Amino acid sequence: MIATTKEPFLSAISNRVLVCDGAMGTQLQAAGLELGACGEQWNLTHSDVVLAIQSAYVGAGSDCLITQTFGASSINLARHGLASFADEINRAGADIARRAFAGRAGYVLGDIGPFGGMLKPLGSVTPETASAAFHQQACTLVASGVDAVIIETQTSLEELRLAIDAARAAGAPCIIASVAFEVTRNGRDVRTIMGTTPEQAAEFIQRSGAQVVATNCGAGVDINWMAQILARYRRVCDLPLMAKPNAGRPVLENGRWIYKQSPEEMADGLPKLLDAGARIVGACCGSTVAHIRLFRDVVDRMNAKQMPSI
Amino acid sequence: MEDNGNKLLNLIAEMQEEEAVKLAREMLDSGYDPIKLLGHCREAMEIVGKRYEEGEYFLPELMLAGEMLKSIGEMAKPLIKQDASSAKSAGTIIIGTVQGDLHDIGKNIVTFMLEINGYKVVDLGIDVPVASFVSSIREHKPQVLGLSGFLTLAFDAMKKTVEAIQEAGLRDNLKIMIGGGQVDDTVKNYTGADAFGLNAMEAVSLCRRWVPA
Repeated sequence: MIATTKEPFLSAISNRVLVCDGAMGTQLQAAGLELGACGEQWNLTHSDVVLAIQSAYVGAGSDCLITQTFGASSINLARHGLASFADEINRAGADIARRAFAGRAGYVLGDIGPFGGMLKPLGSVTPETASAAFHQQACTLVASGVDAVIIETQTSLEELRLAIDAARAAGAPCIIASVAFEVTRNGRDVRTIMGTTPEQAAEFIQRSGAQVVATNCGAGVDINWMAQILARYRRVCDLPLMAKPNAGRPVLENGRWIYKQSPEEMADGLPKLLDAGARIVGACCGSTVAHIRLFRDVVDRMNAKQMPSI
Repeated sequence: MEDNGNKLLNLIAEMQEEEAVKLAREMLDSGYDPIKLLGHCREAMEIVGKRYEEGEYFLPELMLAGEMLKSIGEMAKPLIKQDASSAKSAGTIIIGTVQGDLHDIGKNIVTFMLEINGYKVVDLGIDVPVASFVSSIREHKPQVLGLSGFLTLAFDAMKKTVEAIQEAGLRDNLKIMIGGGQVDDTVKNYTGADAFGLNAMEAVSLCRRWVPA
């Protein structure tokens, strides 16, 4: 690891808003990853493609990159017969993200996604099994020098707790906990699929000892809904906030969900997230380098306004 | 005994799992008509479904309701079979979650609802390969096939399954319904299915239309 003099992540977000990256999964699919195939394996087999996607985000102005390890817990990888490659895939994910910064002092956020099932008694996975998988993943990411661990797209607080505890036990320098909400069927509220409200999630995350409360993705959740989620977070917790909205609500075309919100439209909505207190902003499904480039401009203007006058 | 039926309905709708299963056991032990008892479960499930639609219940409640139905169904069904060996099923339905998708909550509820509506249901489980659907159709000669899937990638697996059934020459006398995630007319057309259902009751309505009980 190269010793750098860069400002620690938490200190950086207290001083300025950081731009995170855009989508990875939909970008990999555009590069030829088949639906249902293991994208994380590409850290080993197509590292050049992953590196190119992340380098492009850095070029567009991302201060933070999320490692391509969303589904790289041993439980997820086992579905593809790749559990024994968990450490290798996570290590490669962290290395690729660091390389994408090409010496720039960016922040690498080690990604832990949901294990993709339900915990007992609702599902078949025991808390011990899930904890062990999260801990293994977090340890590899931390040992690979990530600046923070981001536990994202979580819908169950029980699972989130296991992942936060695992990241802490692994010695994560900072823990970001990100919850995915969806618009309820009556269209009037947002909850996780398990019924959790934004307030419940934020209180829970603050109590559990994570340092950043975040929200990403989510069915039907656009940037306006996300601004509301952040506002509701803010009412009950005082931790720094982060948001990664999808590029609008997806539309179904030829059996594929297509995200159509343009970079301009998303960038227009971005001030709402910033006003609601977001200190890190990126974009989730369907977003591209063009979205992040415009985010960079909006955030630069915001940061310039907030610079203390001397 | 009528009161017990309502009580059971309310216990299920209010997610009182232990008490619901205990009461159902007591009712069956004291000779309560198992078909009638499952009817109460069906009504309770309709309430649960409505509360889910209205955003009052979420996934955990659906799953818990599914568990209750499973436990009570396992107690009641053997009694029905002994009781009414002459009564033939309304028709045969094969159901399964398509390849690559592991979600089964919705499928299990649909299976239960179809069974208590008099259909013989062959449940192939989750992550079902295309070939298994084809061979099972050959074996059981169902009137209806239900393809379930929650993930977006399920749409492709559904499409492949329907195509394989077509190629095997088994499509003509078979109605295919899809459900599970966010399905609509576009997905129906994409997959080549005949209809889609947004919840378990819609699946039952479709089957009633195609294969009157």
